Amino acid sequence: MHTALRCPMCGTMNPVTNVQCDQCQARLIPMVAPGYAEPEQVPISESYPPLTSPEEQIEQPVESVTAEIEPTDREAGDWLAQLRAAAEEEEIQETETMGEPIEPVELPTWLRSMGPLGVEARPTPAQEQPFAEAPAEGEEAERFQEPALAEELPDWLRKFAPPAAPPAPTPPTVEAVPEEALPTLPPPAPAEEIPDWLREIAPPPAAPPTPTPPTAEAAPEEALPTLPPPVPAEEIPDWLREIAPPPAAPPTPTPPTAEAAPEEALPAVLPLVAAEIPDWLRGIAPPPAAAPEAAPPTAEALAGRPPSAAPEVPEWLHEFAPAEEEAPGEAPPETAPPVPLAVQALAEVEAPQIPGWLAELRAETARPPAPTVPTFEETGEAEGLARAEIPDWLKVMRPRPEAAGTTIKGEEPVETEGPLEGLGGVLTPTSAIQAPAIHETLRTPELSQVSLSRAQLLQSLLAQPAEALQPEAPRRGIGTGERLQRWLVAIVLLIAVGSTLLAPGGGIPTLTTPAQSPVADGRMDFQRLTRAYDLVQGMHAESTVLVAFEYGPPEADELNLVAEPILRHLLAQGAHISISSTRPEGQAIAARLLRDISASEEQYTSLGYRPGDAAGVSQFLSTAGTRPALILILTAQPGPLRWWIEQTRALYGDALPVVAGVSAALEPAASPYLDASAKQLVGAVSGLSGAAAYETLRNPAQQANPRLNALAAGHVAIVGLIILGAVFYVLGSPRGKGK
Amino acid sequence: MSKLVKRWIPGLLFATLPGLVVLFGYLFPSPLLVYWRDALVEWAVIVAAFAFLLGLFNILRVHGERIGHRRKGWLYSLVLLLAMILAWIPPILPANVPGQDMLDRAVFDYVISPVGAALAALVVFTLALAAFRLLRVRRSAGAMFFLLIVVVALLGSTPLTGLERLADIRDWIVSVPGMAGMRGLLLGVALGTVVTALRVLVLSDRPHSES
Repeated sequence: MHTALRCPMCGTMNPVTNVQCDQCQARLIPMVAPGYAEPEQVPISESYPPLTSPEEQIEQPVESVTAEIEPTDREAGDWLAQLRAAAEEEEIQETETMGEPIEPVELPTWLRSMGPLGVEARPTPAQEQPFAEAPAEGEEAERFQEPALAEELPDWLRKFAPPAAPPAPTPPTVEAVPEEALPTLPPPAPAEEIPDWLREIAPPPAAPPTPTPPTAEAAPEEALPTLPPPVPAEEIPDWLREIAPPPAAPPTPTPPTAEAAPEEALPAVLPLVAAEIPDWLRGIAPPPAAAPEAAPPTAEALAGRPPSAAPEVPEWLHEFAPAEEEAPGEAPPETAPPVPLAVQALAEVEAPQIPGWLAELRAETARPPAPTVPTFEETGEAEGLARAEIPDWLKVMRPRPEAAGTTIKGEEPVETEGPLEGLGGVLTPTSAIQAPAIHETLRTPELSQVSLSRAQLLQSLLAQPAEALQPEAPRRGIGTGERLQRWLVAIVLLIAVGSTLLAPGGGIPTLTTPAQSPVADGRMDFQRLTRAYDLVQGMHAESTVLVAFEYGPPEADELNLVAEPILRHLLAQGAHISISSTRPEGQAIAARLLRDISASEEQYTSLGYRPGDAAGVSQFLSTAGTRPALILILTAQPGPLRWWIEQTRALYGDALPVVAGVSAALEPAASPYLDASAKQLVGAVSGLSGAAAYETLRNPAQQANPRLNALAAGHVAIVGLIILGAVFYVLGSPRGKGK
Repeated sequence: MSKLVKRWIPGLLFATLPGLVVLFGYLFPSPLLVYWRDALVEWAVIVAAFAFLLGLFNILRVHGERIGHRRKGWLYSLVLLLAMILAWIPPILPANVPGQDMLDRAVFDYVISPVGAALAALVVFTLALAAFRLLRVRRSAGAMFFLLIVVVALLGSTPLTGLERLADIRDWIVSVPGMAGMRGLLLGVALGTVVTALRVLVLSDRPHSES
């Protein structure tokens, strides 16, 4: 076996598996275009034919090629028909454009050193003649077949030399071949003419003679099936197997249904083979006999060919081959597609002897053009594997190429992308509305008695009918008695107050006593009134009195009566009055009151409204330009009274006296500030009775205030009504009747 | 961080610090503290003045919607808004316009004051009717005692001739039990105010915030 490849550039020996030289990185294996890979990868013929010129290759009989194709064709199934048809069309086109035979070119020096007998294979004028027209002489043929240089060969080459010419390659049918066909072989060059360097590497000359191909006319078709069997691939040197061009011409596009290929087409096909062979390899081309001229496989030949070539098909081809059980023992149909020659040739080479680079090319070449995916059953049975049981759930997920892009069941779409491409019915389409947004893990409910009781309680509550809305209670009409009560109260009050006011001197007695009465001297309210009076009495013309009008129109009728005597007193003392209020209507009340008492605008100043309640009071007191001599608070509400008292005490302490004129209802609220220990209020005038007392203090001659009499009459009337009502309801009606 | 920004910094800046400044301005009236105290109080007054504007706009919105949707009582709302607009006219008129002062005074004297006095008078009528019917609803010692105090206070508030002793009783009721009750009430209000102020100062309460 040849175990190394010589680098054509530097001569370094490299392992056969190398594609490039380890020394100079030159490519050891010629680059082959993918498009022309098929004819070039066809292995060397089994018979190690002698090198012949392209012209000789043209004369290769079609029948011999057909005989070699037949086994493979029969093994090939229908799936190769498309490949053959496609290759046929391509090659026809190329043949038409490259129909002219290519002249052989001289081999480069480096190739001569590699190619065995390259020089000798150069055609001679005699060899250029067709075999049939220029039969070789018998002596030359014998001399060519003699191993004249056998003793000169080195030992290492002898083992690569093909067996002796007569035995193996000589087919039994050669006898039938006329002797005239043999002289067509080129005579071997004399040993003297061979340089020494070439003798060392030249293979034995006895190798080529055997497969002398008969001419098309000389070789009868009956002898074709009996052609010598191919030489085992083991006998071919590795170096030759790698560099030798494929002996088989590219498959001639022949229709499989043709009974016999028209021989006229061969000359047009064979030049194509020669044209596809690189020039550098043309000289060392394999014998034309091995070139599998694509001939139409006749039905007879296909039928008579035993299926002996089946084991030669490599395993990787089994994947693309149809199952045997699909065509058991039957003659291949006439419409069987031709087997690609590349595939056929590769099938004849043992897989372990193919280097890696060739295996890649083979894989690329043998790649099925059509995207037909063999089924699992076909592939498995072709390789002799036992068919395994596929679970049903897995069968459902089995890809179904025929349904790609469509629906399998009409409702189950096939996935067209992603890892599930080609699978159908895997993902059940579900409406997005039905899909919950959040998937929660269901937990096994662990119900306790407490939970059950609560659930039952909730259920019972929910089962209860909703309470009807409470109808609005019908408005109870006002009864006659109640109407009479209302009219009675109104009439009594109107008569009591109105009569006193309208006819003060009309025979109605005075109900009140003067404020200076001895009885009133010891009362608390009179003492507070007296202190307020004394304080106002101490004001003078340069004094400024700050008066806070903290009441509105609803309280104006009462507080105006309280404020009027005090303001008159202040104006009488000549004090200047500054008016302020924390209520918006306070300024208007003050202006009206001062206008009523005929005060001139020079005697009082309106300081405006002070918002902010206590803060407004504080801000007003702190920003006042001049400190007042007295602060008079006129209010009917406890809030303003507290604000003014607290803020005045906070800012001025005891230095600024404060007096208040409040309503009768507010007197209890002002009493704490009027306490002698507190002294937050120096004095106060409370209500209409206090105002009357104040007037009495200023003018002792003035007697009872007529309004005080009206107030007293009203109080007496209300007390009478209360007593009347109490007697009526206690004595006149049963208990709880009015509820 | 967000809690510090949202809770503590506004509280410290707008509640605790001003409160302490004003409080110490009263307790320790130094010129600086008094200045800042008065300044802060003035700011509060200005801010409080805008509450009237808010109230004004609220009245316009509420009653305007009621009128627009013809809800129940929309006619009263219409009268309210018209009266309010009319009340704006006198103050916004220039002072030199003849009759401007008279118009303003007339609105107050002939509209506002009588209406307010009438409402106060209704209180007297209502209280008199309620006192008349008190024993019809509740016949108890308390009700009887309540009515007795009312009678004494009414008769003692006026110096009725011949009933001067009732005036003394009424004065005692107001000066002793009445003042005790009011003082307790005022002290309670004062303590509540102090506690509320302390809670605001320590940011326990945030009346200035919704949280």
